[in-house]
Amino acid sequence: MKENTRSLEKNYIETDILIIGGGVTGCYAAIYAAEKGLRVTLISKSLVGKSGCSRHATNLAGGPPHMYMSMEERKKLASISIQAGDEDSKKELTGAQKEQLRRTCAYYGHFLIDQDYIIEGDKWGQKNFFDYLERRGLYFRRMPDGRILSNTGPAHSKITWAPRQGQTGVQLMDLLRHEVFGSNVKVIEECMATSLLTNNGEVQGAIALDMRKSKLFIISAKFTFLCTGHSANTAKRTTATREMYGDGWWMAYKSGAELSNLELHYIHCVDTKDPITMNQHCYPNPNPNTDKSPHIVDSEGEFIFTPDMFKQGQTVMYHLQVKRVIKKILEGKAKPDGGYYSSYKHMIDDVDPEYQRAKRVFDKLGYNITIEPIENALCWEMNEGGVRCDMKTMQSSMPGLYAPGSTGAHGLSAFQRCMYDATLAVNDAQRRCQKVTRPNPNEDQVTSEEARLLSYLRTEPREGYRPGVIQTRIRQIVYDTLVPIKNEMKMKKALEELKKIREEMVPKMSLESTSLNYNVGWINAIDVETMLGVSELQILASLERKESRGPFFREDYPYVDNENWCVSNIVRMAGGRPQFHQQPVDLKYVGPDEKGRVDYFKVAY
Amino acid sequence: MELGEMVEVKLFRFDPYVDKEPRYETYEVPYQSKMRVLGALRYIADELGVEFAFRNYCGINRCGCCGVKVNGIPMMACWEPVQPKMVIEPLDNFRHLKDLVVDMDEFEANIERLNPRLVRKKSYPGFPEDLSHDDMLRVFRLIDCIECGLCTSACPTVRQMGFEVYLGPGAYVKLAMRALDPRDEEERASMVVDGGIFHCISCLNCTEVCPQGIDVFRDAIEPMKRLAVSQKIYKGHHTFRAVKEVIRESGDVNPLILIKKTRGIMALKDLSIAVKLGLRGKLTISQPDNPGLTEIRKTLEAVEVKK
Amino acid sequence: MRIAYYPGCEAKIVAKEANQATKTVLEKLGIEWVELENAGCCGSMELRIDHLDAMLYLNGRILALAEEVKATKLLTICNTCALNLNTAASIYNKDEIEQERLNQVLSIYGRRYTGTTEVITLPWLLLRLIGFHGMRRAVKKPLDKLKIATFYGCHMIRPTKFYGFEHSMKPSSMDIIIKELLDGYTINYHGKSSCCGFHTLLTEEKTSTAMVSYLVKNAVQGEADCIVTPCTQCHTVLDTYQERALKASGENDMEIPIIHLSQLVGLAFGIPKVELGFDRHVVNALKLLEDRGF
Repeated sequence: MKENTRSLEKNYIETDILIIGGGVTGCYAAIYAAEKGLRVTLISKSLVGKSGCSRHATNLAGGPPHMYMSMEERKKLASISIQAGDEDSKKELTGAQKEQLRRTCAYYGHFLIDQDYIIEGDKWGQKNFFDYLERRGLYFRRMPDGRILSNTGPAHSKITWAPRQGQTGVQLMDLLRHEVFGSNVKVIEECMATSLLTNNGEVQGAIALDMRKSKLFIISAKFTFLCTGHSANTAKRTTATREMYGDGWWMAYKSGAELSNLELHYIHCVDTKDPITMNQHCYPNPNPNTDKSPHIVDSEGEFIFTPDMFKQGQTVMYHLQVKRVIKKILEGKAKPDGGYYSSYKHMIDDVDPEYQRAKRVFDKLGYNITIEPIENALCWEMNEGGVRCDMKTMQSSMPGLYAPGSTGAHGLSAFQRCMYDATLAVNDAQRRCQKVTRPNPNEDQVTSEEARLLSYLRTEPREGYRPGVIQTRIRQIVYDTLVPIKNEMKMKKALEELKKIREEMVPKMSLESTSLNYNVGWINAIDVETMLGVSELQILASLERKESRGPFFREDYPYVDNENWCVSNIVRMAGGRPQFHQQPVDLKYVGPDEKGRVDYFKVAY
Repeated sequence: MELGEMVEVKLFRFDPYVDKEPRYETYEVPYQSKMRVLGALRYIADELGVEFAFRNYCGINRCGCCGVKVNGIPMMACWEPVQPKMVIEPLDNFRHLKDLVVDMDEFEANIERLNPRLVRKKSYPGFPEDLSHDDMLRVFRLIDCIECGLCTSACPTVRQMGFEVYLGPGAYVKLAMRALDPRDEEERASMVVDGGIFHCISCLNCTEVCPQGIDVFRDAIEPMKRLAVSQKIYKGHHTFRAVKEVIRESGDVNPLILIKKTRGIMALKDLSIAVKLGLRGKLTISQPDNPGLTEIRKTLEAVEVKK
Repeated sequence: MRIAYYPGCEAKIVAKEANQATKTVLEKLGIEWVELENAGCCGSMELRIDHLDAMLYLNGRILALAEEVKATKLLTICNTCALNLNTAASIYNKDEIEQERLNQVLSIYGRRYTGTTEVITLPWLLLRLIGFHGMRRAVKKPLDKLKIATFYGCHMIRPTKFYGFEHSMKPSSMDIIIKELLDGYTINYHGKSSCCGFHTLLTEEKTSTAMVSYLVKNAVQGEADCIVTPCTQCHTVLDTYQERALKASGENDMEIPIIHLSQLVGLAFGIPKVELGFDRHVVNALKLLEDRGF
């Protein structure tokens, strides 16, 4: 194999906080840290705020109760304190708070998340999140009586949008993007971090490849934040954006950090099957000004899922939908990529383009939602697992490395918690900033990373495999294996196939050109290694967890096992290979009612 | 189109680092149900392994990154359906980087120049603040903007005169979102003029190509022109006022009179033009008032009262 | 068929030749037209900025005047007049509350509008109202000796929500008229749906002349003999400012006659060129026409 002996132009940067990723967590952390006078460098694989999950986030929950009141009612309350959450250290939860906590733990973490963290995060969110955004101009749509647009229904399941469902994330991220650009943060876009710099078991920055001119950035940082989101684009159908392969996870893993619960990956049910490029059409869930959501039906119109079936009043019930669809797949009445439908007939008149975007999308695609249900397919969505962190500081098991937001193993993310995480991480960094010093980057690490990257920059062999085609193959394998029904045989077979790709195809991988100008083929090739690594980890993690839970279903273990598996499934690299161990979760305030094994389809978590 | 049919794509390829000149590569793509232009491009990249540079992230017309020209018209690749034959090229007006990728940094810098952040001088009262939807109606019409740059790519003034003269319509949509927000307290009128909005020739391309259906011209450009004219900040503001004056005086507008009112002595610059026109009988120093002048004046009076 | 005719300010003074040519063409087609002599100026783009409501009410009045002469269509030969009239029509033809507000003002001088006027431009009158047979019957002299660059002008094709009949960036009505109804020949070139730059003429002239240069150069490179436009404002700037624009962009010897659509149709109908006002053009059109046997 002819090695390319070129070397890359190198830029050395020194900073206090290196933030990898420009979604809500990265942007918020950057702005907050800059306001505190810290030196911040933000690098982003794509364009800040324009990709990742954040831009597509639609529902904002967890608002202070008074925001859903009319202007009149709010004025009456003015004299009474309406601040949610006291600062006192007593952790006595009221009945209502406990119920709210139980719901969150059941739906957003299936009881595997840190409960104190949820309490604090939600408190912070209610107090700060909406304030922060409206102060800077985000418009939460007002109704004629002055209340904020929301769904109807009980207080604990209220959702709002700014200004309409399906556009909230766009507004929010454009706002944050402009805040970042108006601050002191040094931003480098289309710059992909490829490996972390380490020294004596601590992380001290990262090496990053600039995609436009192929310069190598060596960024030395006191604190490194992984804000890279998750890995959903390793599967063929996904709500993720193009660049999301779990880069942050892979870098964390390679540097020796612990990750956990990588197998717990959310799945969306109600995305349109065609066109495959549009797996994010922001269906009304629930529909603004109502409490209605689409029904899922099979090809004969029989119900697979309606929210009423579960009487929980909870609006984001993706994993409940998944359970029902899985059941139908097992019965042969649906397939992962089609054969089941979402129906809007019961809510047609309420699907108003003033309040939500889905109608425009349906119209554009030529779907007449008044007469026909729309064929759906399952899509890989957000993860619940990720880099394992101290939940008070967001620092990972590697000192110097933080994973706030959805990159961390903090359960299913919400905007508020992402910002809360960022606050914790920045505060910790600020506390320690004076005391932390980093030596110069280890030049051996730089040299070996440069060599690794350059090894992919080749046009030999002439009849080789293009990395883009290999990526397509990986995506099909991951989708077929993990979305949504897993079993040991399929997963072991998938590992074999991925191994084959690594051993037989990757060495024969070659590019169209070795140009240093925006070489997408080269980036694809580097991503292939990441995709292989991350997919392997996710499959191994799935093999470890011998039960089903939430969106995670194994047909060889079709039950939830609260006796043995209310645990974090932790992995780290040891001797060059993934090593797993489990640690019980502290069910401090709430827990599942079922203590032993229970049929996966019979519980709502 | 139907399943089984083929889409023909002529794809623009050019890497200024290695190619002497651009070329077009032709590919056949099998049609998939509801296929978008993006689907065809992804097939070429993911199934055929062609390594052309192209930005696309969300696939759902929200990130604003996949703008391309298809058969001469700028559009979002993820949003528009495939056509049986497509020539796919990079967007105009932006510096070309490679294949379908253009440099959007200048577009972003233009937006920054007009300060797209809300400026509050009074203290923020806390969430939720006293605000009605009516207060925000004008902003609401612009709020779907995803900063995709298509409007700026389609702008003939940007094409001919460059960003140094006119920042382009996109930057003004973001400015207008704040300038028309009752909570904004920044002085915006001078930046409106400095950004070159009066070089906008009112061609309406921006409105036509907006993938979010925003009426860029009516809801962003014109309101911003109004802001500057009403505060008399633009050097040519007299021209805008003069038309109503001339209408009130004679009903029809004689261009000579208009020039006299607005240019005064500067009209001498146009002497050569005036001579040309005069020689061909195209000028009249005076003309009779329009027979409907009384009604026209009454209409203007009634509107003044409403103002 | 009876139409209301609104020439616009440009056609009354600077582009009188288009006014005359249009009337001659309408006569040849047997259309009864009633000129709205008391209509007054539509306000152009400036009044929209200075005082939008004034523009809307003045144009609402013009729509009412058209209705009063019992004409189903209101023809204008200026694109910006079409834009303003359509802007008013899009409100007053649909919104009852706004129509009532307009009528409160119109009633001051005893007029009323009930929302039935439809605004139409010359290409669409010829293609859609007259149509194939009506046009073919009137053609006496084919145009095949001319290579024509059609130039539509922005405000008769954009925005789609007012118009929508033809593609707002790839219009074809004039090309069909010329090629299929008048036996002419049109060229493909960049700029067909571009902008003439009229509206910055008095305030940012360099921008206007840059538009003129772009258009003219593209048409000449496409081997056109002449540019044909349906809009009197477009004609004025392309004709009057052509030499200045081309000089500013370094072209000292380039020249291309600009012809009104009405004049072109008149030629095809056999009307002698002297009756169509070609002698009023700044850029000489007569020589071209003589060379091609008109």
